[in-house]
Amino acid sequence: MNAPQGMPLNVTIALGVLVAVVAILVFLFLAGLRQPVMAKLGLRSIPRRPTQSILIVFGLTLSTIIIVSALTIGDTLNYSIRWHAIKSYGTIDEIIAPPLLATFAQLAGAGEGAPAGQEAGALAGQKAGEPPGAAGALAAQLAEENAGLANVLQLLDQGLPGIDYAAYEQLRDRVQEEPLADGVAPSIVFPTIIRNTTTGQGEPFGFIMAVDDEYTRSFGLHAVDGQAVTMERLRPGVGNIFVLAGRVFAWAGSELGLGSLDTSDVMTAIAGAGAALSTAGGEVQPVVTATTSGAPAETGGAPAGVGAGQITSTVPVSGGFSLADLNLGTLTGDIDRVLGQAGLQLREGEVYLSRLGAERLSARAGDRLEIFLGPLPLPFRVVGIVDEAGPLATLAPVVMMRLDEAQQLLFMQGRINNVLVSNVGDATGGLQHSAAMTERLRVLALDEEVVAQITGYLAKPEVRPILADAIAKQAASAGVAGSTQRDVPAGGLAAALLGSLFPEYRLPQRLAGLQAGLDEGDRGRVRDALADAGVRGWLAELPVPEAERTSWQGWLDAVSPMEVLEVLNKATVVSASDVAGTVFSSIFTIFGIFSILAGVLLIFLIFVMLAAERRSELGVARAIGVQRRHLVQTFVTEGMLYDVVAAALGLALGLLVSFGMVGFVGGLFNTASGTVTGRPANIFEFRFSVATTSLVIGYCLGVLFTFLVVLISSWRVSRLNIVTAIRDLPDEAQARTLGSGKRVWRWTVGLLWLAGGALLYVLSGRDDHTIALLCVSLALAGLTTLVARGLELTRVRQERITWARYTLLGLGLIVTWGVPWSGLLGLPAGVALLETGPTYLLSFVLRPVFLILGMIMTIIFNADAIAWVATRLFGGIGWLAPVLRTAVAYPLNTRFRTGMAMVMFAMIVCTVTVMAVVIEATQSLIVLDEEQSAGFQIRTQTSLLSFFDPITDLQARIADQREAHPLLAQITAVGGVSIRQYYVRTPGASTWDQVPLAGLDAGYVGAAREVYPLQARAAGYADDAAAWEALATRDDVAIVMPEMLDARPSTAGRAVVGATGTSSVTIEGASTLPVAASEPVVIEDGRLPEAYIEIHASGAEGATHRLQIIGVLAGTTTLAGMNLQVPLAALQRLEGKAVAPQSFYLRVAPGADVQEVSREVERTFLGSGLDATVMAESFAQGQAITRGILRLFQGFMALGLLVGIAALGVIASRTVVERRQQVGVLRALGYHPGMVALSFLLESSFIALTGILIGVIAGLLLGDDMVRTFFAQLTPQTTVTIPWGQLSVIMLLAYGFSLLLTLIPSLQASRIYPAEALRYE
Amino acid sequence: MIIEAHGVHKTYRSGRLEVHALRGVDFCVEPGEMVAVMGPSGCGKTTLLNCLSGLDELDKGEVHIEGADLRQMDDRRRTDYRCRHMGFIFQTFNLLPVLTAVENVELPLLVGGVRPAEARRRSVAALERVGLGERTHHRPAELSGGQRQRVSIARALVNGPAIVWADEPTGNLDSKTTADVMSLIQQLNADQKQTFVIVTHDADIGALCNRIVRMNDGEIIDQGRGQAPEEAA
Repeated sequence: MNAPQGMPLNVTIALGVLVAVVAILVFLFLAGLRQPVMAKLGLRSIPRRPTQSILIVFGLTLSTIIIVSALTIGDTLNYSIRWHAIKSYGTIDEIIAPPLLATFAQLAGAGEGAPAGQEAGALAGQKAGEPPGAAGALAAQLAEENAGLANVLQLLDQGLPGIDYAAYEQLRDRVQEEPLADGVAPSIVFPTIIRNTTTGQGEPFGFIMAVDDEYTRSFGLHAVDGQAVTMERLRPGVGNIFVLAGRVFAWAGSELGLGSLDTSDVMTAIAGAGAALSTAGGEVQPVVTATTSGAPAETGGAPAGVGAGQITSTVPVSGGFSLADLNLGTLTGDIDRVLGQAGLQLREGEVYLSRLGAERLSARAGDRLEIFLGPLPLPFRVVGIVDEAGPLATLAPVVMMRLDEAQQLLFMQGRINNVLVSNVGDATGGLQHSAAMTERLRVLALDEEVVAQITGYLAKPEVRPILADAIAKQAASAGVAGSTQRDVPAGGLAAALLGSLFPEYRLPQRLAGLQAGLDEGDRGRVRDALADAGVRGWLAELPVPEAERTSWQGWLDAVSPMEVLEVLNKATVVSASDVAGTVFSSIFTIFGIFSILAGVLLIFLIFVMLAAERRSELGVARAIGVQRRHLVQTFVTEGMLYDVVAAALGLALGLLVSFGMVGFVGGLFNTASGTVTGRPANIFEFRFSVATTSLVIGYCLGVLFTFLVVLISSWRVSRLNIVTAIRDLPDEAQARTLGSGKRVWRWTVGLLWLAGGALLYVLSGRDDHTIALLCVSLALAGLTTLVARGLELTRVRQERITWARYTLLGLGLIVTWGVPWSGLLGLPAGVALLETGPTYLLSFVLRPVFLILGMIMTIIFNADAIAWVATRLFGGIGWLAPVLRTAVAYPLNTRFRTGMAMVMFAMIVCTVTVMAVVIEATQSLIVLDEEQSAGFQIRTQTSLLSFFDPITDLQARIADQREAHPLLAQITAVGGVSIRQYYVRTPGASTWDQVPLAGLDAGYVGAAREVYPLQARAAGYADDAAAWEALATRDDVAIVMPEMLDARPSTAGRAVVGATGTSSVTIEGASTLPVAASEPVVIEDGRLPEAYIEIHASGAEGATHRLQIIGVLAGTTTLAGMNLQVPLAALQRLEGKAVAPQSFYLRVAPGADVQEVSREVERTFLGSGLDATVMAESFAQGQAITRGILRLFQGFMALGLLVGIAALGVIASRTVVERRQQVGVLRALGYHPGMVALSFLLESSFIALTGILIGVIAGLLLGDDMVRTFFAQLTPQTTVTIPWGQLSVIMLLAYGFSLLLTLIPSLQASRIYPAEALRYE
Repeated sequence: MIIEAHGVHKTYRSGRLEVHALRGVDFCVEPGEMVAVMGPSGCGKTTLLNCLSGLDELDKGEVHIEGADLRQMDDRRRTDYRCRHMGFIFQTFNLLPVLTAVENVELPLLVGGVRPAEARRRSVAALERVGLGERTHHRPAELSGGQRQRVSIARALVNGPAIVWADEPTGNLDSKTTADVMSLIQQLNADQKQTFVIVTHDADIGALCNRIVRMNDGEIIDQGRGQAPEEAA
């Protein structure tokens, strides 16, 4: 994020606030020189009461602490992300690559596509222009039954997308001529599954990063201990086993007269041989074992029990073996065996492993890894753990492999798929050139030959007018769209994001450049324009003659064989870290805002009290001619001295607090991770860091905050009445004669409040719940003001008028904001949120504020009654009655001060209570019960790499593997769920809505029927079991959640669907579809009328599938989760092929070790990219992290409690001084020292306890509201658990500390000697 | 004797400065007597009052009130004694600004353990006695100087003390109000036979008392002529 001048924003802010602080200090210094007496008057007050001065400084530190710790947390996150990024990237700054992931996605899609048989057959056996291979028919048959094989076969034949080495060399030469580049290296990046066979730990998604020594020379590669390592020293491993096998078969083929065989022929032949072996002769080989021996690891360190280079792969082959069971995983053993028969061996290669990979796989040098090429695990030995393992090393485990070996393994001989570029400068210094280099690399990556072809074509006389016309049209439409598009910032993250997301932002300039280049015959400018993907996309739409369209499109496709992966630029990642840091610190600042507000109130309070203490002095000063501005100067000078000291202290304490918080967060993530993995882990290492700018900003903002508040309170102080101040009489003692103008104004204020409320009501559209409450509040303020003005015309005493006004207003606010109106009106909170939108969220801020104000007003203006009750209750205890009398009377005499202190306490306690309730809710409401888990214990999920060996029926695969993996026998049930987006409508409707739905297999339904009761069933389904049975066996039914029907609960178990008469089915809150029934649908006594929906894969063409809704779930939570639940068979019927679930859920036999079974499942099916987790543990991990983060926020907010406690300390300390003489009177009248101390303590307790109580009440109401709004599984009848234990601790701590801090001044008061105090003036 | 003080010494220290406020004062008062203590500013009048009433400690000497040795009492007993047997009237009234007139008056009763309802009844009666029955629920800030001093007198007398100590009770009042207040004090002294020790520098006030004790430089220079309380009245 940059300032317009290119200066980083944080530097700009830091400089701005620093200049402001310096300016203020200079101004005060100059004012002090001009009026030294006033400055002295302020400064000399400080040492007069050292204890109070210390308390004031302490109180003032809080806002600085909060700001500094929030900024430091952001800095730490920012630095940590940067650190990890730079560690992984090393000196890599940019990456150029062909669209690998897009190709992969296409392959995955093809694998699951409908006409798999023909398509794969064509891929496997019918290469363009060639007759079908010898095994083409078999390949087609295989592919039809196993789409994953087709994917692999395609890769084998065509190789992975990439660029020729020669093209790379051309590019390298061009890049090396760039002055901003200092290194280029080729690489191959490929996704893989990795298993550490030494520790048994597997990762279903990682990457191979293959480089040669050009990388180590240009970029550097270091082990984690800092030692430089090279790629050359890695020993190559198996190489291309398929090429080797192909040679064997080619030899065999020529010997046997079978003609030429290609790789796919080899594969299919092996498959055929495997099938023949397992079915022929009735002799079943239960286990096919291939054993090869490799050379022992040179590095040593292999744990005992792992045979040196010994590879054993066991694949069970059951008696019911068929082609449908074949995939490359089952072929591995055969390949080993066949290669072994030919005297070839699979030999272990060596790799480096990334830092994150070592942590995730619990690996160290010497460990043996299986790196999966598709479904084939290939053995490698880890020889070192390294940093600088490339950009993906921050996200997933990465193995660094020799480039030549990866080329063999991945069928990319002579090709690479990534070019790594380093900018001049070191790992961080190169960042500044990233934007410029990216621009240049886009141009350099173009194919020169194709650029020439395009230039030539566009320069043709018949094409030029077409181009010119299109450019003119584009310019016209851009002008309509807005000229601001041309005002895009030239650099920085925002520009990069805008440019990459919205190419049209830079299109007009690019097209102008293209045209100018063609006009001037400057191919360089044409090239610059063509480097822009937006220009190429725009050119693709150019209305060229139809006959030339194909070649035109071909040139455009070919002109940029590689793209700069801007998303993976180091600069982009580093910029993202800045954003993450800013977001994080913003969240903390927002959470700390109540504490900061409390701090502001405290500062205000402190200075109001300072002024109160010195009222007579100030009155005298004014009497002898001191101006108001001089009084302001006096106070501001004193305040600034407190301020600069306090902000420095706050800075130091803020750093300490944030250091503790960083340690907490780091520990939290790693401990939570450890609970799941069973070993200490380091998911993300937080490295404490603080930027100088943050220190400056934190300090200066602290100073400025305080300065502003001091200035305002000083101004207020300066407006004293000289006579009442000198005589130290209350302000109300001064008879007020109001002029007619002022009287009119006082009436107008009330009318303005009323008018404001009415206006807001009209402007808000009259249907907004929160705004309506706000309007009522404004109206209340207006009405009570007018009532007060009216009463002032009568003989009623002012005191009673004030009482009536604020009591009415307080009670009104309590009723307005305390009563759950939405609930009373029949709107559950969640519904209200949906219906009223973001303003409902505003109620979470307004509600506690108004409630607290209402309650405090009511109490403060009626505490006389409280005191009366207390006196009556405790009057029997002789000494307590007078103590109570004075303890309540004093705070009520200074209502403003008392009210502010109460507000401080209440606000902070409210936020802490809300957090406590929310934490409790996250822990108690979200429990992994049967409803959440459907009785399953393990969740397995597929990954990007699963398409090599997709699993459609895990139960069957488990059955196959039980013998080899006995632990799998502990699995008693398997359920599959596929979540997909489909198009849905009611029959006959003209439009489709895209909604997610869950396809459930029979295994899942079998478990769900035991757990999820239905509240309504369609006719013909006698009970729930019948409906579930239909879902398991049929393909034309659906069961829905209540949310899908617009059903509101009503009496007697009767729910009306579409209460207005326009029957509707609401799906996922996104769309409302009319159901097929013509009459309003009424669910009565659990009977659901006939209702149908149609689903479609694309919403455009092709067959639709009609489903009857046969049941409505009683609850709102299921494991599958979607509102619309259909049989998997329905999806298969719609798509005309098998649909593989994305998630399988496993139930384990009672008493079995779920953790062990989960690991075994992952080990067994790692080749399918299956990731297994124990649901309870991942749930516990999530809970632990959520709880930890919330606790951190809670602790952060609780910092504000210190403010409240400090406030009480300041108040108590000040009151002792103020009331010294009165304490003397009390002592003269018979108060013992203990009674005096108790009176002061009770006074503080009255403020603290009232604040705490009000805060807890407001917090509980708000917490309940929030939990009900955000936790959908709550019904109106559910009681939100209140964490009384935690709340008691919070309340006791807050009260205890406040008591402790007021104890000292109270004891001081009790030690006042009466004669001395009475003499005191 | 209701008050008997012998050889009372009191010295104040402020840094290296020592001020001998009382230098061996002997002072006695008969029950029901109304005594004025007069003298120039800084002669030790208020210090004497403070020491005799137990508000301050003596350095040396003896003080007996109703026969009880004040020096033998610890702070707690002395405080209790003050609460039950003494009343105070101050120049600056020293009413608690946060309490109403009646609440100020009933405070000593509550401290003395009287039940709240009884305390309220007696306080209202005391206020009526000093002519403030209409002002019971007014705060000090809402009362005139004379009214405040009347409240102060009501507070001093509400628990029926044997001795009332008054430190410049009319110092902040105008002459008419002074006359009213003194008339009230005289009347109460006559009616209730309470002992009054009044510190004043106003000769007119002294003239209204049974006896005038004159002080100078920390010593009593004139114990004054004895006069029966009835005569003074």
